[in-house]
Amino acid sequence: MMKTIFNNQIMQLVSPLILVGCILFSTAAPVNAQKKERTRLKAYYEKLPNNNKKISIILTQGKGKSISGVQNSEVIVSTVAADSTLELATLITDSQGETALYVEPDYSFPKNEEGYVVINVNYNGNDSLRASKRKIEFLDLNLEVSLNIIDSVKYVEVEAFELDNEGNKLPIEEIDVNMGVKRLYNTLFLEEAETDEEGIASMEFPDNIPGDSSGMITVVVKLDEHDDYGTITKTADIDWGTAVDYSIASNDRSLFGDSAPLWMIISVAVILFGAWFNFLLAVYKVYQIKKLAND
Amino acid sequence: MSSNPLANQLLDENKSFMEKPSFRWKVSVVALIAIFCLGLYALFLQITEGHLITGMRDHVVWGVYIVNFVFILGLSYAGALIAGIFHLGRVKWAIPMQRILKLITVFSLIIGPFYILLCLGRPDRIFDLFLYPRIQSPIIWDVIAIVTDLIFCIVYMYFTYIKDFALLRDNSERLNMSNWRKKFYRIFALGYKNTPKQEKLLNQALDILAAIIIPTTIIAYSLLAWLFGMNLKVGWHSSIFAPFFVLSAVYSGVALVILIMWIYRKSGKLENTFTDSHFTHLGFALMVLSLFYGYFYFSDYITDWYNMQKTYGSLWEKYLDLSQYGIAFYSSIFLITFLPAIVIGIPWFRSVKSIVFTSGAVLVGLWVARYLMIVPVLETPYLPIQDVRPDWVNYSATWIEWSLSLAGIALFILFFIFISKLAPIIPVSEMKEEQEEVKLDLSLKTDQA
Amino acid sequence: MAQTTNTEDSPKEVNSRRDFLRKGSAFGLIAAATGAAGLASNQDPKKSGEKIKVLTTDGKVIEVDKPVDDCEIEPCAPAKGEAARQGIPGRSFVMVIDLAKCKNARKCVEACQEGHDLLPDQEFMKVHLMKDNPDAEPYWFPKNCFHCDNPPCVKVCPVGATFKRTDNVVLVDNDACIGCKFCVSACPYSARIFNWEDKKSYSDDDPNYSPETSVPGQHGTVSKCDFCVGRSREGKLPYCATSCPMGAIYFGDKNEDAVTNGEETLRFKQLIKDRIGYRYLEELGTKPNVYYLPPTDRMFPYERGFNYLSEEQVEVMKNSIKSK
Repeated sequence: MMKTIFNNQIMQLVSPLILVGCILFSTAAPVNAQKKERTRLKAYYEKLPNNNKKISIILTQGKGKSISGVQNSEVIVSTVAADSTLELATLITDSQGETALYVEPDYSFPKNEEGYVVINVNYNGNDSLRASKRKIEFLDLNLEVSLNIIDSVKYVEVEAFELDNEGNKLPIEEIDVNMGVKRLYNTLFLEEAETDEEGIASMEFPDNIPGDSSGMITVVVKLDEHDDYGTITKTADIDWGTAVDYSIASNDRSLFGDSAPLWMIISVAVILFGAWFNFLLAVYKVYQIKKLAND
Repeated sequence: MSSNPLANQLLDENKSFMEKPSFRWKVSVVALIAIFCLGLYALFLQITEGHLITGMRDHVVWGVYIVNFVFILGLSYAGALIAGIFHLGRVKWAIPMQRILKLITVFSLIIGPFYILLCLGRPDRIFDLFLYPRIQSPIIWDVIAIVTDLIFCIVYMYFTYIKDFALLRDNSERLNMSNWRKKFYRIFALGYKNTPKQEKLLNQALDILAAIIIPTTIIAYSLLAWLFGMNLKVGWHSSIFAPFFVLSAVYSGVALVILIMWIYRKSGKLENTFTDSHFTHLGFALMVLSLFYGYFYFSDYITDWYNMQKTYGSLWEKYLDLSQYGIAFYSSIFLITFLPAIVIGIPWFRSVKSIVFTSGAVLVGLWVARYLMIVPVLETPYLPIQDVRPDWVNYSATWIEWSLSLAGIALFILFFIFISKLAPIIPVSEMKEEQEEVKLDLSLKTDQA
Repeated sequence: MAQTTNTEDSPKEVNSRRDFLRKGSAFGLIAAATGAAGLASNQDPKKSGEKIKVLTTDGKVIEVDKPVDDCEIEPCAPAKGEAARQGIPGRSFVMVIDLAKCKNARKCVEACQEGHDLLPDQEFMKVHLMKDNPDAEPYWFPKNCFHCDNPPCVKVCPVGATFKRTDNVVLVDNDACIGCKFCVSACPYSARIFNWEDKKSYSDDDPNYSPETSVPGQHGTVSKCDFCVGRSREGKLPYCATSCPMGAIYFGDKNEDAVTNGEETLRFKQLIKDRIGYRYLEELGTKPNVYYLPPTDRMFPYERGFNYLSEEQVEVMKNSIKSK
């Protein structure tokens, strides 16, 4: 009881102060509005089937549900070479705040002492947005896919390896790879496996995957967002699918097709012919009446 | 020539129609034209503003218009069917009403299809129906049937006028007609001089036409029924629909003939032509048809009701619920299936007036029955309608639809008014044969022509 | 197209023209398969002359044209006129809706309306509240056009304005529709809507009009779900499938035996087999191409779906499922 009264008294004393505070605060509001909004950079490393490397970048602002891309802004991509920064490219974000840098297969990134490629992405901000940066590090892993048939069972074999400075293969174990087939909208994944100490993962390819009319399919092997190796995708075309006959007879006579069932056309024709024949016969007779009158 | 005493007498009786218009005539014509113009205005609004100003929505895509379409075409087919049967059956007493039947046929066949055009969202593309028809569609069946039937019936009606036109041509002096009329009769009488050879040819032509019009109308109205029956809809998807439609068409046709006969009898003092026995004959036909109708109605509903499939259950609920379609449902059943049996079946009630009244009631009941056959079914799809807009859930016709419906009736009456100025409403030249022994010549003799 | 795969044992490719049409350009295929399209495909496909930056072997940055990786099926633009009636060769589009996942978030409805330029009241995709029997729990039932293999609507069209294609899709050609609405009443699933209002964007002679996009839906004609085939040409899923926050709507090609909700891709036959997929009102014989997975083990109580509706709508829904 005492406590509430005390609280009330306190409140009575404090509330004018709060009010004043509020007014002050509200006048200060325009200053606050100029406070720059935070931005966020995300970057992903990916290796494409043609061995091109791709660094995808997304620049966003806002939090939670109001998150949105920052468009038309410059993003600088650089790499670290022997303690000095090497600027690689300046990219412009699109309407979604996205952009990407493609890197040709033979371009060799400088590596740090642990063998990692270090990529820095910087956004310098502007009048209303704060600067932000992001660093990603990755190792250059190679996946090699071979398609074999052993005892009429189809296998997709994946070899994961890094290349040392002399170009020798260093097998990498415990790499989770996904194997699937390319479908219209995305990849249908069928099996997952881990590479062994020789860097090899072998997966059985099912027999009942539909291909095109000659059974051609595109096998996709993917390492998905690995901490060190990023995303790597490999594809290969082969006739391992079941051939699907796509020649649908679209010109069948049907109620919903373009041409009607024959019986329908025949009956309509017969009925109409019968009716109109008799009708014209009657008209002919009346025509004769007129002729008789003229005689 | 044609100095047939009966025909002359009948022509005189018809003079009241044929002569200079009376004041009452003028007033009613002006009133009807006004109603028709209101309909034209409504049509103008519908075309410029779109179908949203009608009561039609995504579920009840056709409303009063399709009810009118079905009802009016029913009258038309009935007229042709009854006329054809009477003609081939050489039913002597029915000769005076032959012309009315044929006029009903033609006028309603002209007016009816307009109501389906009113349902079209794009009337500007109407000719696509003829340019790119799909024979699988019941609408195309209807287009073919209506066009065929319209041509047949107009020609049939005209052929039955030939003798009368000849008579009028020959009596043009006595009836002091204007020149254009004389010319009109001379051309359209086709030089018919009542020679035995001509008469034989004409009778043969009429027999052939009557014989093909009977199946044509039955097929045409069945096709119209299949416009509904071919839908996968509870309440429509019924094999009884085609015969049921044909029967209700004949039923409505008989009722309308009684009504029109009575109007002519009253306004033209044609008591000697349209006698009490005409009314009692047709009254009995009406009663028999009402019983048949009840039989069909019952068969249609009992088969669905007995099993009460889920969606049909909700439809049935709407029919029985007094706050929804209950009143309309019960009263239409009473008017169509019980009233004629009571009024005409029990001698104490039976009179010309009561028969005419019953006919009017039957027509109203049949229109309501068509409405109940169409609108509640459209309001009851398989999937529940979960729409917050009440007009999207339940159909109610707007003034646009009502005034266009009235315009159709007005036009129908106007057609009758004008045609009875042109030629007698009874086939006067056929009437003389009533006195003679009617030659029952059922063999069509088409081969010997 | 550099590939490190060993393709020695693959036979000589004997791709027929049909297969070529089916796949689209080889580049598009590879690029999309790699995921390069992952980001790119979110962009506006109409934006032409886009450039990408490439770091060459000698460390220079050059700008090259962005590969046309947003085209999965040639031609990429939605088909018009007679071509639109044929269907995409070799495709057999199918949709699977997982009723267990649907919480009536209505995102599919909104995305569809936006994508097809519909009025707020016009819904190609509707979400019904269903209750199968008095004791069963109600569930949400998203329903679009089922693109039936025995379509009652196409049968009754008097002028052939609506048609069934070889890729399963049933479309309406708004340039040919006479607005008789027979198809609207013939459809047992109430899937079709009529363009009652003369909206500004409804234009008669839009040269870009394609039945595959349903836009614009002309005044006085009938419109309905088009399975977003125009989007499929770009390798994009229908609006409803991509917008569903629960991933309840799967779409795919039955010939490829795969359906996807954008997140996961499943084998169609296995999915229908395992989850006892069914088609709504199968007994009508319409052979729909939209399958439903039964609403068992639902992720949310159905009442949560009321959060997305106005009070009035909730009232209507509740009334309509009241057991009688």
